[in-house]
Amino acid sequence: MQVLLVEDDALLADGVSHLLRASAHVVTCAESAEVAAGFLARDDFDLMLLDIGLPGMDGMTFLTRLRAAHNNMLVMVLTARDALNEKVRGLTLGADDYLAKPFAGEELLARIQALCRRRDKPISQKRIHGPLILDQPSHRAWLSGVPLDLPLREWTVLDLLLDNVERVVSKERLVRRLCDWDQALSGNTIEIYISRLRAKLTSSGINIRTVRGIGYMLEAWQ
Amino acid sequence: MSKDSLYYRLLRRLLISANVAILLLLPVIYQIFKSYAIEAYDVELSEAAFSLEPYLVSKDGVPDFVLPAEAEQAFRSDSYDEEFYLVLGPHRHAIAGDTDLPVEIKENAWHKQSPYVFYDTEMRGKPVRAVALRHIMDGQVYLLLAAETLNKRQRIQIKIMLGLILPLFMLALVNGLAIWRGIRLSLAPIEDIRAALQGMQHGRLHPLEENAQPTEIRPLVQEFNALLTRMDAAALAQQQFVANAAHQLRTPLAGVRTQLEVVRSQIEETELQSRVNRSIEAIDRLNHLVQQMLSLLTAAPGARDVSTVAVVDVSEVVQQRSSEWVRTAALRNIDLGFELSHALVRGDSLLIGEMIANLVDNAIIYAPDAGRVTVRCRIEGECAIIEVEDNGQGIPVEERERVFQRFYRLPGVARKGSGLGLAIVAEIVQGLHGAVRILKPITHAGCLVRVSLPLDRPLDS
Repeated sequence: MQVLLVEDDALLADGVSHLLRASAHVVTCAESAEVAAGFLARDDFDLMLLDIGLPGMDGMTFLTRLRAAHNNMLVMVLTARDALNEKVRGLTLGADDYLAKPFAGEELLARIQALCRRRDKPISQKRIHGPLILDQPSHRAWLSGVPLDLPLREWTVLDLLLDNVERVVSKERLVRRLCDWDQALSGNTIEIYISRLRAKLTSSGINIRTVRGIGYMLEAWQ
Repeated sequence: MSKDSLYYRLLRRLLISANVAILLLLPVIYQIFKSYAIEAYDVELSEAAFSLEPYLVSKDGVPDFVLPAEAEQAFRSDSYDEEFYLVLGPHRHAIAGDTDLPVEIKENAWHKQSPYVFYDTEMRGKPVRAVALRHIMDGQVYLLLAAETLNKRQRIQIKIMLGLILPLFMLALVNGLAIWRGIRLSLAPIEDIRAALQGMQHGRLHPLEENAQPTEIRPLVQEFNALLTRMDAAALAQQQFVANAAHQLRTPLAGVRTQLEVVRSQIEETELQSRVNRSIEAIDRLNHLVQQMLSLLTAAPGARDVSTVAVVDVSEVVQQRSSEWVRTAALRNIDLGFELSHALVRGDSLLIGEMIANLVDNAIIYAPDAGRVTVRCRIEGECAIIEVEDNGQGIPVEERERVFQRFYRLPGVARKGSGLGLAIVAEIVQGLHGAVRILKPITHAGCLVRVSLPLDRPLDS
């Protein structure tokens, strides 16, 4: 994947580009928004990793101008600013994701992968979570290559959980999704679907964690 | 009412000065009235002296004074006073009347326009008022004297005094009421400002109306508004500082961490790898400490924009941030649960989230492996209650106050956190006008931190 890294700290830029290249990404480094604008005019990139605190034009201004010019490339903001002040602002100004400095290399790579998956979803229509593959148009599922029998409601629950890997999904949200067909549905019914899904998936190492009082969370594939 | 109150001081000073003026007025008015009354009685007395004149006659150059009995009776009859008379000849020898009446007339007392001279004296042990009338007969000067005791004069003085005291007392009363009411009305703007300021709690600071104020109060209101502007500027500067400090501290940390990861990926030797891993963990701890210290700066009163204050549903804040906590809890195989009901408070949702995050962090750190942590929020009376409970060792009663101090650590507990988490919680809770207490869970050992925040109430209810 073509990645444009906009970061003025040489040590960090060097480290990040090493990590990305080791994962078979092609990395171009720019030390300021002005230099990055020059690269963007010449080449196509799949993703931009953008630092906020840049010399000259700051990252936020650069991103706002980029979006104003209808450039909708994937942008992940790297912020060293206090999360209490910048988190919400960064997302509303049009970044696809953000990562607070300092970060773990695996986290950065996982987020990049997740971003690309989200973008590619309409094209491939196939969801992959470790050994689990869901093919949306045909409504068929495989686990470790073996076809998996998933009734519609279980499929819907799993689908929503897969949309929110590592994020807590509340029971109410699951109920709302299922209510499209079923009018009277309680939290207890959800528990039944979850326990059925667990019976099918846990042996393959796919874990659905119960979050007492809220709902469920599909853990990331290790 | 306090002696320091402006209202009390004004009331006291004005009442004293106004009533002292009335008191000073009393003798003046009394003197004027008394002089008129005395003058009237003096005229009456002089007429009595004049009434004697026809009875003084000259018979062949020898003066003779014969007062018929009825005339004398008429002269001496008076409802209140004893009346006296005396007729003196040219050599001041008594011709007729009460010869024991003292004659105390100085030679220069005579006035050109008036034949009368008044004087006060004493007769038969009583004070009397006397008048002398010069009468010229046959070229000789005779004196006709009339005198009377002071009963009716004293009586009228008492009447005047009594007649004055009542209206002046009424005047003082009306005056006092007018002053009281006047002060109340004049100080009403101060009361309005007080009411406006009282409504400004919970970060609801906004400028006061300047133009409608009296000229004396307008500078105060202007100063207050200027102070608000300065506070906003200070908050902005503080935010800028926090943002800059965060950037300057974290970017090199990120650089070093990433470089260490690159090094780790390129070495085979396990001992070197573990050294690198420990260094990475140290970087993470350092980063956490930086985050905590910046949180403290951010949570300090006035450090954040007033605009970030809104009505916040605590249960929503908890749900939004639950994912990151569940991930952290999963690392230590801790059962993190939630018991959430809606509770609306007024505050900065990011700070409230940060506060609960610090409590959850602590609970996850101090719960045993495979332990249990529960986050609750609900409404209890007038308060929103937030509780975070773990089943760890708990905090001894005597340490429960001290753990809120910055960098304080429980004796005998292995170094795990930064020592700033609860200090941040205390700071944020204080900013929200709430209270935080450390308790023991009812059913088991452990630590239960209970935060109570005032519920949001619409201003009009």
